[in-house]
Amino acid sequence: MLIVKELSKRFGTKQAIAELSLDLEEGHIFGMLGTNGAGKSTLLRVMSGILRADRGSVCLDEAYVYENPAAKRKICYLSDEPAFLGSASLAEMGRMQAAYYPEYSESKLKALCERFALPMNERIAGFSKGTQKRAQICLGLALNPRVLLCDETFDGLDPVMRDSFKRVLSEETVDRGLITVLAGHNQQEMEDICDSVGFLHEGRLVCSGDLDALLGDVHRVQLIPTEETTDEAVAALKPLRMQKQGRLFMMTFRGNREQLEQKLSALHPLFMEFLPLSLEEVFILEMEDRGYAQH
Amino acid sequence: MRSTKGNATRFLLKRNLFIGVIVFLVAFYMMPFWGLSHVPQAGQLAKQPYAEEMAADITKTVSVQVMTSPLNLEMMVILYGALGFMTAMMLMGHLFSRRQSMLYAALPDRRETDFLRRCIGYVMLCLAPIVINFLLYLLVVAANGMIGYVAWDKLLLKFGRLLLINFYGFAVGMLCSVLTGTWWAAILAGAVLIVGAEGLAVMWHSIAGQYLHTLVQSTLTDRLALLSPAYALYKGFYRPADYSVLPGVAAALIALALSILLYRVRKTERAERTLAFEQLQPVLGVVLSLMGGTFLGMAFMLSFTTEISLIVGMILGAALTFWVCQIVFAQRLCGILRQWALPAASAAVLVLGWAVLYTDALGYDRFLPERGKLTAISYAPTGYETGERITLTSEEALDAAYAWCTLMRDEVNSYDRAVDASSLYSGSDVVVTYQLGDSKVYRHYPNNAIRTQAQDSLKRMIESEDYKQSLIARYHLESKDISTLYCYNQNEAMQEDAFYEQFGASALNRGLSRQEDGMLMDLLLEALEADILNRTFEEKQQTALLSLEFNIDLPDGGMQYLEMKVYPGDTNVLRAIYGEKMEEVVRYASGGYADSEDIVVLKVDYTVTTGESRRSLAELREKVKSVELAETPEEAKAWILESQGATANRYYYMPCQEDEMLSRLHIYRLSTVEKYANAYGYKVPEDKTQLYDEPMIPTMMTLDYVGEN
Repeated sequence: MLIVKELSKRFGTKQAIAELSLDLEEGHIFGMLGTNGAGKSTLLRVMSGILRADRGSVCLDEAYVYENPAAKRKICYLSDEPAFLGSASLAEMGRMQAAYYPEYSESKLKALCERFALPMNERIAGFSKGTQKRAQICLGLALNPRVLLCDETFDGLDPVMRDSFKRVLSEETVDRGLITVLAGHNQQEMEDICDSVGFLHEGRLVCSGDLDALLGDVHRVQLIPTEETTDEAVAALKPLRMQKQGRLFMMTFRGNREQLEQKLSALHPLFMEFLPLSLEEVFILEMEDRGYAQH
Repeated sequence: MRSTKGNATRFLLKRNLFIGVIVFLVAFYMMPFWGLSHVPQAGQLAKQPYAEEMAADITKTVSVQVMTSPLNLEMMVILYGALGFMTAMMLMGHLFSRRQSMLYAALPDRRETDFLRRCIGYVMLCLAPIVINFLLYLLVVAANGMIGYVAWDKLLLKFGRLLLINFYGFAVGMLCSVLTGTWWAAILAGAVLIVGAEGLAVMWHSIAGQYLHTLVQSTLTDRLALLSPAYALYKGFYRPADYSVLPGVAAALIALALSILLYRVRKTERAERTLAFEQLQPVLGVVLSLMGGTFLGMAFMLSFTTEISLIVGMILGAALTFWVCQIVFAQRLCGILRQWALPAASAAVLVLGWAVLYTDALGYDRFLPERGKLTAISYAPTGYETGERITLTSEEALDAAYAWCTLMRDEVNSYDRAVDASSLYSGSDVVVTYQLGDSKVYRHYPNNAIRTQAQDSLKRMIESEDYKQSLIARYHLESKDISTLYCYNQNEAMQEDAFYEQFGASALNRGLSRQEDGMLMDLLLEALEADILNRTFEEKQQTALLSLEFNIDLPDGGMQYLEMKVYPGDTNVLRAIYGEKMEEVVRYASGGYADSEDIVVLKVDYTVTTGESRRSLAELREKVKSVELAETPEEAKAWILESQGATANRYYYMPCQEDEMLSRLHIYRLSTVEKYANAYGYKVPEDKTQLYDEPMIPTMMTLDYVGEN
């Protein structure tokens, strides 16, 4: 289990992460969504032991990660800016990994490279941006890590590759009991493969939980009340958002669906319908609630 | 199949093998390649019949020159130091790139393990190639059958120093890499760490030299060794006894220890930032602003030559340097000018430093040690008569020297403080070293007007046993260190054709070398020693006849060139050179040449003092008071005996004539005058005093007349 406890990290005057806590379990994929500069990359770098936290801790199986080679051997961080040794090939990068990671598998790297059409002996610096991303993912998976931290890893990949890698990632997570964290902006992707999701804003985890539960906690309702029902009576239900077009009210609520249905039914509406919300819509809602980019 | 655990150190070495190749090639050029071109030549010398006599030179070639000659010493030191520094920077190169820094920080490795791994990298990729090349060089020496000529102590000592310089460069390179986040900042930090203190000291020493009249410029090198381990390591190549390796070793170890401590706490995210530790920004800003302020102050002073320009330059330089540093450190402009307190403090420190020097607030020039605390006084003339470097320790000689130093100290303090110190020196100045127990204090005195008053003290010093023994030791007269000895006529009369015609030979027909003329040299040196022991103060004040030039092989491998004058009273040396003709030569050179109808001696009195004539560029012929002709050869000879060479009045032990009215003897040889007259249609006047009116007539010599007018 990877436990992040009351983590804080500051860059000069900017508070990148503030008092953030998070528990991550094996065999689960955790999606991390956040606004620009929310602290996603910083959090992943601290979790992987690259950056030192100002306060708080990151522990893998109760062992601190920072400056702990035993813990770091089990963690792989795939950066949003892939970094390789200057003029190195995948084969040389593999040799470097072999020197540091006992769980590294050269045969796995070869198999992955074959599967994703990557040349082992060419300079990585000469690869396109997307190919470099593929190379980075293959190198990361060849480490056989227990924790895989992916920072906007699928950005820059073509749809076919993206789909293939997502499949590999799901397989690895389930088969090997990986703790996987995906950070990015693509909510659809998160919805596709994540078991749980967290929203990061200004260094804080503003909400997190099981994806279904998160989506099930926010509801969009179309409602046409009776003529006797005043607008004030509808507003008294305290929706998060409310729009009115003629007699049609479009409202967003947070909370238990059954209780909400009871409250709405009490108005004896002429028409009432619950509409499904996407993760993106939930995210926007949450961010707007916290005053992000409201116009 | 799972991979076995790899070896991270081996990977690092393979990855950075190019460093080893570069270092190997450079060291190969320095040692084996140089050996291939020079050792066989030395081998040829060793096969010659005179090999035994050349043994010292051959040994020097194979044992010393390989460590200094492939380039000059300065270049060697810089190159070996730079190899170490650049190796450190390349091994720590990941700290200068954000991505690389992240890549390495993600690896499962402790920082200290990683650091030590890179130190091993240095040993294998930098030190080992140098050592291998050293062994290859020895192989070249052995292959040429020259191993017997190797002076192992000298060779290993110098090689050890080169390795130490390389290690020092590496340690500083590691520290600079850890402290900074960019290549250029690391190189700049290296420059500041290695020569920053030296540079600041040199600049302030130069400023102090303008205001402190007794400051000794040359002692800065010894003090620099305290400020700069690199400088001490460099100087120690030739003077290992004076410059210990300990400061260099200590500085390197401290730098390395600091590096590992800082590397442990260095934030990964500081890569590509100028400084890796934000806390250093104000500290470095102040240090660099002190340097910048001093530099600009000096530059302004050179351009405008006023104190105000120096101060304005210091203030401007301190402020600008501080702000520029902060812009570079923070990589932004905003809010920089609001930081005024620290640059103001830097500027204030500089101006205060200047004020302390200008007013001599610390009493530097007024210093005179208590007589009771003095264990020795050493002095060395720095103007004319330069060979002497005397140490006096006996109570009697110390009393005399102390009285002399007191006069010199008082003279300095009688001058206007605003006068540039360098303008006070006229050639008779001396550097005095006060030995106070284990410590030494150096002072530079003009020794000008007080020389007349100091005659009694100077006589007691120069006739003391201390002085004589010190002179004998200074010239290595009792050792076999003198490799060659030359003798030249010093007296102008002895350089005349007439002298050669009359005595048939110059002082010595050739120089003497230890190898070929050992016995003759020993005889001459014994005679000189006897003369030094008997020489009186008055004899030393006479016009010298000869000058002896010594080339001395110093025990540490260096060479020294010294000169000593031989006076008419040094009969032992003169007899050894001129044999039976000695008395006749002395008589002739001491004015006897005037005992001839062919010689005309005019005494010209001027309306200016000796000091004024030295300082003024005005034509002396416009300042003539009277011209007098020596009526008889006896009178001419008497005048000549009361004269001296033009520079002799500035010897440190001569009475001061700066305030005496200038009077000169113009000596003509009539036969030469007639030749000139025939060639240029000039009529030789009946009244010989009129010879002076014709400036183009060649004089035989011109002497300063110091007798009673």
